[in-house]
Amino acid sequence: MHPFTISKAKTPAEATTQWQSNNGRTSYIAGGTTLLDLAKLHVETPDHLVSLAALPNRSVTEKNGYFRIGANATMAAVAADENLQTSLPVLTESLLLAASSQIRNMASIGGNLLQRVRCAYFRDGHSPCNKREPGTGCAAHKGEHRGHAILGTSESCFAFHPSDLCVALAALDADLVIRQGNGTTARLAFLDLHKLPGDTPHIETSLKPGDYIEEILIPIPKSKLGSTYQKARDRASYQFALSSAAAVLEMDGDVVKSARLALGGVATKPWRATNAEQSLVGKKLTTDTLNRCADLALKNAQPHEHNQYKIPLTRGIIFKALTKAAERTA
Amino acid sequence: MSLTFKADKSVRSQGVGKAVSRIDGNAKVTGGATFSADHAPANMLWGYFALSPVAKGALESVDLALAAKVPGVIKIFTHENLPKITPGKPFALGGSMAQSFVPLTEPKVHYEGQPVAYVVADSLEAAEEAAKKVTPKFIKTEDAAVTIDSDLTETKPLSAINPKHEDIAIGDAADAFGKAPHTLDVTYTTPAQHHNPIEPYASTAEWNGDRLTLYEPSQFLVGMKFGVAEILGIEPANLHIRSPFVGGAFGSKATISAHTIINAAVARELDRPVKCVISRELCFTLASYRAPAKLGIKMSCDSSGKLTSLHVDDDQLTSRFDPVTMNSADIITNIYACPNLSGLVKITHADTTTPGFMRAPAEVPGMFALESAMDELAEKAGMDPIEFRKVNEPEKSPLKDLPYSSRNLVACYDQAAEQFGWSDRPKTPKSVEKDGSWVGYGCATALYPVYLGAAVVNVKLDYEGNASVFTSAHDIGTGQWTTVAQICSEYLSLPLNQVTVSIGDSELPPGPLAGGSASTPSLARAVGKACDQIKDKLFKLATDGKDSALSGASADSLTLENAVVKSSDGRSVPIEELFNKAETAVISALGEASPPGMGIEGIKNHMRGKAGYAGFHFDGHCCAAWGCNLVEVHVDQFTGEVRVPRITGAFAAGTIINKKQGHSQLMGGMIWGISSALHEQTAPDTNQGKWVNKDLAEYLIPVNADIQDLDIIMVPEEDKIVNPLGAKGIGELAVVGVNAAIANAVYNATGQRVRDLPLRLDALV
Repeated sequence: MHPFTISKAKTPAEATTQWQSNNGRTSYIAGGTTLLDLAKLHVETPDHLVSLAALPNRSVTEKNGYFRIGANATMAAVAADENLQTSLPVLTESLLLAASSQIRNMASIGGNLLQRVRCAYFRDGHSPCNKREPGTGCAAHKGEHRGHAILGTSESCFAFHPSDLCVALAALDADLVIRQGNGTTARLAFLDLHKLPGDTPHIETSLKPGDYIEEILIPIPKSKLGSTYQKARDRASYQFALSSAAAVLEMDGDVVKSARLALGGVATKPWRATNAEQSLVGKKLTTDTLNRCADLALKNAQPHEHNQYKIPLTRGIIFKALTKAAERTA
Repeated sequence: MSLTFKADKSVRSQGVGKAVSRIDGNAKVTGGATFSADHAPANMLWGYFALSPVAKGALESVDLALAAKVPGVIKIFTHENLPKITPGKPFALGGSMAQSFVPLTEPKVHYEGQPVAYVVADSLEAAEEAAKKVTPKFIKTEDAAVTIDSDLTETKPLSAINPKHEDIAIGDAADAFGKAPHTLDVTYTTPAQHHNPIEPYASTAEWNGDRLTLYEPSQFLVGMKFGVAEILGIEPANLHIRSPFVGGAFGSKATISAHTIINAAVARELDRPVKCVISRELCFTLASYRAPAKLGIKMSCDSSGKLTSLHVDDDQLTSRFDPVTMNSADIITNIYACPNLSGLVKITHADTTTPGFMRAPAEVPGMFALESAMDELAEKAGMDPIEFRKVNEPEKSPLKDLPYSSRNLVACYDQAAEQFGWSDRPKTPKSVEKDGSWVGYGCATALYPVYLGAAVVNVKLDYEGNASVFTSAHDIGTGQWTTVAQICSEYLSLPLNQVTVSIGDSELPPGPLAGGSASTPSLARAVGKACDQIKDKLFKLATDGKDSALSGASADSLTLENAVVKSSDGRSVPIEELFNKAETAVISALGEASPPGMGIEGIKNHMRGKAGYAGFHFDGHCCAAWGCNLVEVHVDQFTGEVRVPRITGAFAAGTIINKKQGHSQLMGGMIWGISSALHEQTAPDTNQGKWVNKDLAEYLIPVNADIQDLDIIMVPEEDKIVNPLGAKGIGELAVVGVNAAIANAVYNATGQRVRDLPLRLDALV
């Protein structure tokens, strides 16, 4: 591991000040479950870390029509929040289906949103990788890419975004409170956090140097919703999604009143399937309408040699998620 | 002084066949068991390998400029300055190395991930940091391949490489195939897999003048002792290897890997102890692994389901430099009655390390192919798959026409089918649904040949009836400490808590190689011989001379029980009296067991570190352990995800020395079988010619949630032909049948036949 120094912030002001006052490569660290892995692989080589672990933003509260989740809360703590479990099972399920209990106990919610991709060529530290070393190319295109994305891909990069939680947040119209490098706060729509890889896959989010995520705001449902997070993988636990879907439905009898659908494991960023979800509004959930929804969700999908199965798999996951969400509106 | 264990006084057990807790268990669960990497001799340095990101090429130089600047670095070794090493042959070709090529001995890279430099530093952190800053420079790089079907690999018949190899040709398989009413002609593939024991490869070398002590996990201390000594050019007597605990091995630690040699040579030059613990990444490119295999099967049967032909086209991957194959064809043509057999064994050279022995090396790929094919042909013949196997049960071994020492496969199927509820098997695919998944049942046969290796043990008995056993055997997690004590307890009829065991140290009499599931049966023979000599001495003392305690009794009327010699006429004498008469406090005997048919040469070779085996056919019999797996799978109707809610295994493997440890081994084998069927694969990058998932995050194995009901039936079996105790090996048996049983169950659930492992949702969704 590249040697680094570490300082601990007790207040937001200390965090941004410490970040600003260090030269060289500086990173924030919270739970460390992504950063330390990548540091051991020499993919991340920070000179200085500013620890956010002692900051107070670690609770789940309800205020002004929002669930406010402190970004410093652990995945385990948020998954165990009873109000969220009752009101938005899609959120708590996405957390419980992620990682292992050990990691969920350690990892912060903010860090979860900013975890980096699992592409073997990104992580090996030396293969051509436009994300790790812009301009070097992408070894995954001709290499092994069974897990890679089919949506939001580019010639430069098609690594999938690995977070489960982000898929739920994409479906929940969440907002973020960003602590900016200058010490002030700003609000950012969650769906504007992550960027498509395009020609610049090394630019992953709209955060500026020195920014960190302080809170996640999720509108408290005003009416009865049915929601779920469904995830497909090779083994029964402790694996990133091969495909996943977050579905949030509001029904009027057996007719869909509103629908929100987001996909994971198949896209380069948390993926809101807007056209697909809109196709369900005013319709009953039938094989035909679900097929149409899946068609729209996958309309622009671009599979490669090893990940073509993700098309039928994602159709299956969409069916499962919407069917389950509808059951829960009852 | 080697480590010893004996059972706690409270343990009431005696002899074999009971469920006994491990005598080394307390040490293991309280942190008292020190594994190789736990040793830290004074003044020790750390070594770490720098690896080549390029798969193949000629090295111009290795750039050490950045690495050398890392504080704490003592010295960096490359092909330019490594002390002279003379590599030996690989184990599979008669040597003791994992492969014939040792990195850092020539300016070449033969495979991606090959070490190109060895950094020695005063801390692990410094050594690792510096290793990451080493950059190999190439004169020229070449394209590389790690898959059988690549244009860059080279496939040859084994007979063209090894003139001693004879392909199987019995009857006329092609003719019979052409005339049969039911035929199958398909190809099955199994992927590369790496052992990944939880304890990685590790070696600590400590020199004292010309004497070297190695702390190293090993499955074959005698082989390592002579092999390492030869390669380093030292006297074997000057090499001491300590290996009391091995954190899993599965075949990976039976051979000498490059790190041991390089680390020891470097420690000698630096004149300080050096510790080397291999990273998980390097565990994939340092040594042995299970090679990818491609098995073509042509098989036919008549209208009654009897097999009329079987042809196996066996192609397995190996390195460029060692023509090694596990040869599955010789195993799978020897399972069922079939008059026309043929097998063609081929080798494909690719840009990898040399593969080797990974738990049931020939059987796992071979039996996946054969037992999947049996399921396919059974369906064509319109028969229940278990019934189909029973119809093809042979009287004698198909290849050698020898009677079985014992074969209780049918009993295994009968008991497993009853307990599992096989009669509820869905009659057609997609006919039974549960919670959104298709339900399927599948079965497959398992076998593992009985192998017997050479073993030498020293048993001592004192006047109070305390026994000690000394042999350089290995506990690779199987429970060897305890089984050795049980075997001695059985032969000397002593309570288990009076037997002390010393194993895992090269200074001890040369114990058997812990491989081929042969260790316990081989030890049983050697311990038996030593104990028989002790008993003979005692019986002679008891009956020699007119005033002896049991004067007049014949030797075969005598028994030894709890330190008392008894004759069948009711007289008895405590052994202490006999020891007093002989004016000795300890009687010691050496038990030497040579593999059947090898005589004294078998022992002599063993004592020089050359492994020798008799296996499958010996003493005029075909000897193997048999079993079967019955599996239920659930396949998600929307996603194709496969889960295994329950699996039954029935095994007839002679005397089970320790029912508790035996159960654990069989359970572990079945769990690995699930892993192999559904998850494990060292994934190739066909473009760069390398493995890509070299860590345990991406090399999937089952988690607890994947393992549900495991039901194990130990079918009673007596077999005095394999050895007097009737013990067959069980270390590998239980992994063999699971791959095919799961694939067959998935077919029964979905109607999808998957012939390529791992069996993943990609093929089913």
